[in-house]
Amino acid sequence: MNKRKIRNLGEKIVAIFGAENVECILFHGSILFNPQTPPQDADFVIVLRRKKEDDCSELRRLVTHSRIVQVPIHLHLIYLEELPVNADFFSIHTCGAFFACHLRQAETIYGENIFDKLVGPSDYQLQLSLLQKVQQYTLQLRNLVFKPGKVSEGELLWAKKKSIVMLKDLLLSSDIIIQEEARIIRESMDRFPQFSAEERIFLEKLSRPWMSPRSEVKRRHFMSRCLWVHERAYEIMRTRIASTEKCRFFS
Amino acid sequence: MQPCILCLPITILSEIKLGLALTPFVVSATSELTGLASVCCVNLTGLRYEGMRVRDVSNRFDRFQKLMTRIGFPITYYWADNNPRHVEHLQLYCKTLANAGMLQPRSATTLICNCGAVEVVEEAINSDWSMDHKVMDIREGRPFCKLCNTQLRETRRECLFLDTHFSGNPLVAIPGFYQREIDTLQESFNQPLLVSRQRKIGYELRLFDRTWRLDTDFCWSMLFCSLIENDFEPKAVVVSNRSLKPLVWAYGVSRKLCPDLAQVTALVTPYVQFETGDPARPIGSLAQLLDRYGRTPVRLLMASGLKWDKKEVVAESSLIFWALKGSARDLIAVPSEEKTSFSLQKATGLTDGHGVDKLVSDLRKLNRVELSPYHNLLLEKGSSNE
Repeated sequence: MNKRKIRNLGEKIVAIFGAENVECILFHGSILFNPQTPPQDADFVIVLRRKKEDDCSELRRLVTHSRIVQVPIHLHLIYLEELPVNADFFSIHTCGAFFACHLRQAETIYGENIFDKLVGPSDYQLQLSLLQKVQQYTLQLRNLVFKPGKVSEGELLWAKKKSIVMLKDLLLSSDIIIQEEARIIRESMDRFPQFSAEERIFLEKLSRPWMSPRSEVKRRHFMSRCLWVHERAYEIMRTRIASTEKCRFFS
Repeated sequence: MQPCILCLPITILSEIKLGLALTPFVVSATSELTGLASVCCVNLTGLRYEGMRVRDVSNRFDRFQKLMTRIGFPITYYWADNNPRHVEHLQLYCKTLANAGMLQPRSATTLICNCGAVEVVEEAINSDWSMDHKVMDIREGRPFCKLCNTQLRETRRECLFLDTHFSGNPLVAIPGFYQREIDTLQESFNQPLLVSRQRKIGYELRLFDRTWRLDTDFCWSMLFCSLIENDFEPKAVVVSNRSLKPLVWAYGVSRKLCPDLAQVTALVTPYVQFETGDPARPIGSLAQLLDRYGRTPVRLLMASGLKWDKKEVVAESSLIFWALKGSARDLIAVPSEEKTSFSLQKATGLTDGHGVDKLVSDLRKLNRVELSPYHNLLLEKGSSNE
């Protein structure tokens, strides 16, 4: 999906809601930062100034009839009045306050990125929201690993993608915001000596172009390795949080 | 003509540090308070860009402008030293200087390094006026280039020299304690300056029946004239106290070309270093801080560094922590309703960093904080920003 197509979609959204009603349209996510890596979807955040009853229906029509993009579109509609000035109180979908930092790196296709005007998040909320995200991904992946039946291609790609997202979140908890996958992996290996030699070999494999494991045994093996990465990242974050925030874990 | 406040050209590095953005920040804030147009000057030619593709330089400039917009420092006009109109005028400016006898060719012994970053006249080797002194080093009495690490070698050749003598019509300094230093610099700037170069970068000039390659610093030094050509009337210039020489030089060269260039006020900022307090943890770039904290805490940190009564300031990032706490209580802030355009002197007083430290502290402690017009800008309060 090229920039012209993204701009076209932005123009359609502005045409539907009116320029005076659109605060900003942001484009973020995998296509923007890692266009070569599957799976791809186009993530947009639309911030409107006024609420109307049929806003969601209008957006549904746009997405349904849109031939502008060939990949799945994820639209998040937010009204200006719903945005807290203090980023500690912000969340979107299953992501907490930390996501304000990600959205500041989005490409602004219309207006001015409103998330630059949010204050924070505070260190406490940043760490807390990242920890919750990491917990969520780890438990989700555990479910996938012990799920009976064959591992699908979609599940493999999800596990790979989330393994890198875990590293990204781990870096963000150290105030490092990187979006490009190869850099995330490199930087994580440099910064966190806790990753074992075996885990490092696997991480290097993750940074190479995707080659789907052929046999079911290899697929299961891949999923287990992804879980290693998740659990290691979770462990590093837990240890750090236990030493700096008011949070204690059973040992 | 539009009266304006400007900064000397900034070289845009791949990563913009807070210290570099401080000058355009002062330009923008003072512009908002005084009603002068804001002009941010940038260098897009020179050694720092050597080997880069034109498109990459242009992208870097775009990213810089976007960053200024993101942090909320509006700039009326960006002047770039590669602006085609300015480049076109360079030939004319040099001809004017040559006709007045201020630009002359003569044979001289020059000292040059391997990479071409340093090229000075032998007779001026100990003069600290040459712009090349920032990349030159004297080791055991022998001159070296800091960039290519080679000893300078002598060559005798035909060079182009600018006659200086910049005294008269002095710049007015704010704060006043820089006035003497500026006056002394203007008076002592009275030796011929080498403005031609052997290295391959820089603009070409046809003069005295031959082609010269011009020094990039000389090319931007006419910026005051160039702004007048663009219908701006320079009233004030923001410089760090480490850049007084380039200011005196640029103002001097421009006055030779535009004798009716009005007196300009120099707003001299302290040299501000932004640190975390932990040498092992660098503070990060402006973009990184913006991504992490949003623009208000970053603006408050930058504004805190601007302590006009000091020559050197260390601003610690811990202020961001307090700014986060203070900004979260910004409902207690009462915007100023004052709509006046302030004098440069008054605007400088308003933008003092001590006042910003007090603001952050008050926001945390008090139940009601009366904002100044400058604090309105920093917190994006008041009628125009609501």
